Parts: sequence; C-alpha cells; structure tokens
Amino acid sequence: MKRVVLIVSACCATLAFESLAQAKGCVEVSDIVGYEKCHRFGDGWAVERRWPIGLALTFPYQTFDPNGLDFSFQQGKNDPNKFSLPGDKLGSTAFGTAGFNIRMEGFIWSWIYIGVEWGLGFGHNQISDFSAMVGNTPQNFTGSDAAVNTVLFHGGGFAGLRIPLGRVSLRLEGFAGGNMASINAHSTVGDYSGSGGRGALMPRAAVDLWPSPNVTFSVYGGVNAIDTRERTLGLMLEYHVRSFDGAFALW
Amino acid sequence: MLDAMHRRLLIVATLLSCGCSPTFWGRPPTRWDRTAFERDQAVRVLGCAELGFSLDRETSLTSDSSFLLDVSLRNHCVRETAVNLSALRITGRDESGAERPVEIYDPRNEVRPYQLDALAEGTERMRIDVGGSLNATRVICIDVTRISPEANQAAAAPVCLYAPSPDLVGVIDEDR
Repeated sequence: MKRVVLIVSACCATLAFESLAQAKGCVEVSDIVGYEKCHRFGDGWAVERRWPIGLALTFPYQTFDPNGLDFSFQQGKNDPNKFSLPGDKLGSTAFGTAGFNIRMEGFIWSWIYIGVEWGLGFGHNQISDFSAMVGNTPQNFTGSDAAVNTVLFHGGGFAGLRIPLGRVSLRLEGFAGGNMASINAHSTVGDYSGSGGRGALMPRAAVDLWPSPNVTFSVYGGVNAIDTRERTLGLMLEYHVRSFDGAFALW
Repeated sequence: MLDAMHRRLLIVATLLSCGCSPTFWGRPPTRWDRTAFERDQAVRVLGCAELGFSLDRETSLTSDSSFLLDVSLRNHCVRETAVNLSALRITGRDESGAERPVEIYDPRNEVRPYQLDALAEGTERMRIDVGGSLNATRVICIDVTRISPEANQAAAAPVCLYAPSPDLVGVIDEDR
C-alpha cells in the first residue's frame, strides 16, 4: 500500500511541477509567423536570434594551499569555542579535491568572452595532528578519516579569448575569484570543521574539440598567480547556443 | 527520516512518474519537427543554404484566401550564410494560367534578412495570401533567386507546388 501511495504521490508531484512550469512560462498558441506568441521568425536558426552564450559543466581537479592562511575551526555556526589555527600547522602543502563547476559565458566582441563560474570540490586529505585551546582546555586534534574530509568552494569571473582553428579551438583566459577550503578534524570533544580562503588570479588555457557545431569537449588547466601551489586541471563539456561560437576558423 | 528501502522506493517512484507524464515521452509536435526536405522537387540548393517548401491548408486561419507555406532551411557549410525570406517572389496561378502575386502575411514585419547559422536547420510556417479564391488557385510558384547573392548566382528554377485541395496535392517538377 505504501508503495502505491508513494508512486501516486510522485506522479502527482511531477504533474504539478510541470503544470507550474507551464503556468510560469509562455504558452505558445500557434506555429505560424505573425500568430506566434512566444517565438519570432528566425528563432532556432538565425544567428541574430541566437544568444552568443555558452553553458558548461566542468570536472576539475584542484589543489588548495592551506599555508599562509588562518583556518577558523568550529563545531557549529555559533560555536562559542571556535578557534583559529595557522594553516601551516596542518602540515600539508596542498589539499587536493575533485568536483564540478558550472560556468556561463557570453561573447562580448568577436572572439572575446566573459563569464562566471561556481563550483565545489571534494577530497580526502591528510593533515598533521595539532593541539588547540577549546575554551580554556587544550585539545589534541587529528585529521578526520572520513572518505570526504575536505570541501573546496570555488567561484568568480573570467574573461578570455577563443582562437578558432576549425574543429579545434584554443582558449586563453584569466580567472579572478576565490577559493575556500573546509577540512574536518577530530578530537575527544567532537569533530571540528576548519575553513580558510584565498583569492585567485588564475591564467588558464584550454583546448576545445567540436564534435558538433554546438558542443565542445575541452581540457583545461591553470595556475593561481597568487599562490602557484594552487592549480587546476579539468575536463569541460559545454553547450554553445551559436554554432562554433560564431567563428569556425581563422582562415 | 526515510529508511533505505523507502528511499529506494521513492527513487523508483520518481522515475516511474516520468512515465506518467504526458510530455516526457510523447511531447506534442512542434514546428521544429516539420521538414520539407523529403521531396526533392521542392528543394533548392543555393550555395550553402538549402531550402525546402511545402504547402498546406489551415482552416483555423481567419483569412479564407490563405495557404500555409512551410519553409525548411538548412546550412551545410561551417560558416553562416545569408537568407532573406522576405525576398521570396511568390505567385499563384489559376486554371487559365493567369498569375497573381501572393503576399507573405507578416503583420509584425519580422520576416527579415538573417544569417542562417553554420550547420543549422530551421523551419518557418508562414501564411501566404493569394488575394482571391483558394479553390481557383491551382499552383503556387516560389522564385528563390533573390534571397541571397549565392541564390542569385545559382539561378535556380522556381519551386512550383500544387495548391493543396482534397483532390489535388503534390509538387510540380516541370519547371525545374
């Protein structure tokens, strides 16, 4: 009986969601030019009616250098016993994480684009044992042995240049933003989460392969100019609204 | 909190609910699904651009002297190419062979010159007004030579289509 209720509930939820989506969006009344409500002549095929934008999902491996930062450790949001620890005491040259980024870009002139990206990375990193004052009591901490003990938050904007070379294109871009890492540590009084962040100015390069006029697979990499231990290397899948972003080749 | 079994059930139910949805599997056809490329006689290749035409009747239109002209476009080049459908010269012929101009219905002045994107396809459904009785119009001819410089060079023959009626539907290829 519970299964039936669950299935029916899920059906109803889906239908309700679709109805809501339709109600909020434009409902087309005709497919004839001059009668259409939501579309205009040229939609879907005319360059002038296609936004020069791209949406991408990237899968980067990123490193984050905890040294030179202060990490704020706490158990909860308003933990009165939170404490600060220099990142150097964590005994790691760089935290490694793998995750995903979502990015959106728009071409502002010819081959030049700007955009924003946001993402998360997850990793398991070893840290040195350390001691810290929790309230008035010294406590010993060890790194959490959880499968994921490090989370990296990443976000910012970028500007770049795409050089079209046929079914392959090259990109050079600059990213400006920040990374914040959160790492878990364990003590006898419980698990603590410490976080620290740093700005990023990262020149990046990418190679795109165009299997279709609107989709690219890319490999990219970059180094943070503020701290060269922070690097990224990733794969990117992107959908481009305009074929070949408006330019197939230099020639 | 749901236990593991109920979580699995919820996932299965959600997946099944997609099947309940009328739009998930069997979405209604849209104008992007139509193509007139199946009939060679109604297709013209004009440089990079390829255009296909078909005629239809639509009873829901307010005008009783109108046909529907479906134009399918395709660019088989890796670069965009110019297409100006407002430059189509359309004429209607009656049984005696007399010709009269046919106008594209464009109240919003949106049928303009555009660039057909690289390797892109599209379809437009346009109302065309024959300016007289639909039943008297036997043939619709479409001159495509002015829609782009490439079309002008190609000097393609006009596409002539039988006006759709219950007893006479098809494409004329005698002018090709």
